[in-house]
Amino acid sequence: MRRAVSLLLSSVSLIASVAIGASVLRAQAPTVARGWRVAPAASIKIHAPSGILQVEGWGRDSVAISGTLAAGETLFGGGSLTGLKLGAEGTATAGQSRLLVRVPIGTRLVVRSGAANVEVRGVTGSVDVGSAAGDVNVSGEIESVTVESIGGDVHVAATTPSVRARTTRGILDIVGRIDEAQLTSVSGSVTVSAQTIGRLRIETVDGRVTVRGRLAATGSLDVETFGGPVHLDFPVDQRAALDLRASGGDISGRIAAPAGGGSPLDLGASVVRNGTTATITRSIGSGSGAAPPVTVRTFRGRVTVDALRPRS
Amino acid sequence: MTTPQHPQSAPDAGPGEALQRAIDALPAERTPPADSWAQLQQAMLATSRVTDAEQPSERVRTNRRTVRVARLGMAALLAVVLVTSISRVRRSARADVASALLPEERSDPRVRAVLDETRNWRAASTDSLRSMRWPLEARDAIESALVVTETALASARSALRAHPDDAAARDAIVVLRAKQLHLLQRAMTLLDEI
Repeated sequence: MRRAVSLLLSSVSLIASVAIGASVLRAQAPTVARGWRVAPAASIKIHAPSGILQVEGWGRDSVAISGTLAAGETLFGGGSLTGLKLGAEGTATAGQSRLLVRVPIGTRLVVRSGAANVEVRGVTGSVDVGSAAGDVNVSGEIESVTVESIGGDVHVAATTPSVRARTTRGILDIVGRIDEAQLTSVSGSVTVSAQTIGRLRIETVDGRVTVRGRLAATGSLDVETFGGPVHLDFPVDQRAALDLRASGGDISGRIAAPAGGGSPLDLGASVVRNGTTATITRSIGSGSGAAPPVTVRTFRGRVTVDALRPRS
Repeated sequence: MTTPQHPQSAPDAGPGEALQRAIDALPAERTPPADSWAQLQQAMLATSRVTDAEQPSERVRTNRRTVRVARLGMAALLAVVLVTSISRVRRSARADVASALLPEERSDPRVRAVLDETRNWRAASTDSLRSMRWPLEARDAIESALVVTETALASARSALRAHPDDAAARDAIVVLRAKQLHLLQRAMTLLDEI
């Protein structure tokens, strides 16, 4: 009997130690720490199949990668002073990768992600991120931004001359100071909140479009949706030449009264109807010189234009 | 009557060896002593238990075989039903698209390009080697985008049927087709890169 009890106890302790050992192994995902010397404006391409990838610009002429890899994934990397390719490869079987890659700030960066969420900050060179299913966040003062996610959201908070961003059903959210941008989605909402907007073009099928900010005197805004509603929110002194058309929808909005006196004017009074099509062609704001054009075309969506926000 | 003794065996000796040793230990007389029979019975009992455990009876084996065959049959049947229904849905969807096209769309090379690209997408999605790394979420997003654009196309066509001079509806159809084509081409390019 004593022998049976001792056998039972040793079996239980063996099972327990195996279980604890397995969990410890799982918790201790393989760590990576590696570096390469590169030129300050090198082209760097990073692959991230899954997990989380952070890319950070730093003031050194080298690339350093650190973090943990998911079980089943391995690190690869190699190249020359002017071009480097690195990242994780393989299929994650347990856990998730968490990688931090530091690159020279002037890097021309390309990231390709499977399901990994990608965050890029502090890189001033060009940034091009393509993700199949992950979310993408890009921030900083950047030469140009190209971002695309098929299944995830895209957030850009940048001061940049150029943004090209695309989602399918994910949110597309742009904040900052943008000289020129082309934003596209299928059903994901598109939101732009910029201090100054230069040339901005937005296309979506059914996504909601919201633009908040001042359109520069030399800028232009062009929005095209099929069924997605459009809301433009300008400061009270915004000058613009509106050319709005909603084929099966409606147009409304409020703008400041001339010379800033009286209650806001109802933009709906300017709507011209032809069958089911509503159009507005008029200018808003006062001052001399050409007003930046604002063109909206929607087939089924509703258009709202407000120009009442306090000037910034 | 003496208490039956368990046959002493080496730690790694199996019940078969214990049985053999018990048989060897039997005295040469016609009627062996009671304790020898007891040892033999014990050894035989141990052997039969192990044999039962390791080698199930014929009836059990037959039952297991029957269950296995039945499971395989059900899985095969389910697979056939699934494949048939999916292909039927796809066929009917394709037929719907074809029948829904406006006469001018049928001769439009852009429409043909989109249909070809959609076919390429479906083939790529079912190519296990090519699409091995494509996340399900991304595939789902593409399928969902195709549904959204097809719904929008159907709406524009319906408007055009009601008002054949509706230039906006005509433009919308062209734009939506271009979007579909671009969506599929971009998606496959990006997915092949990961």
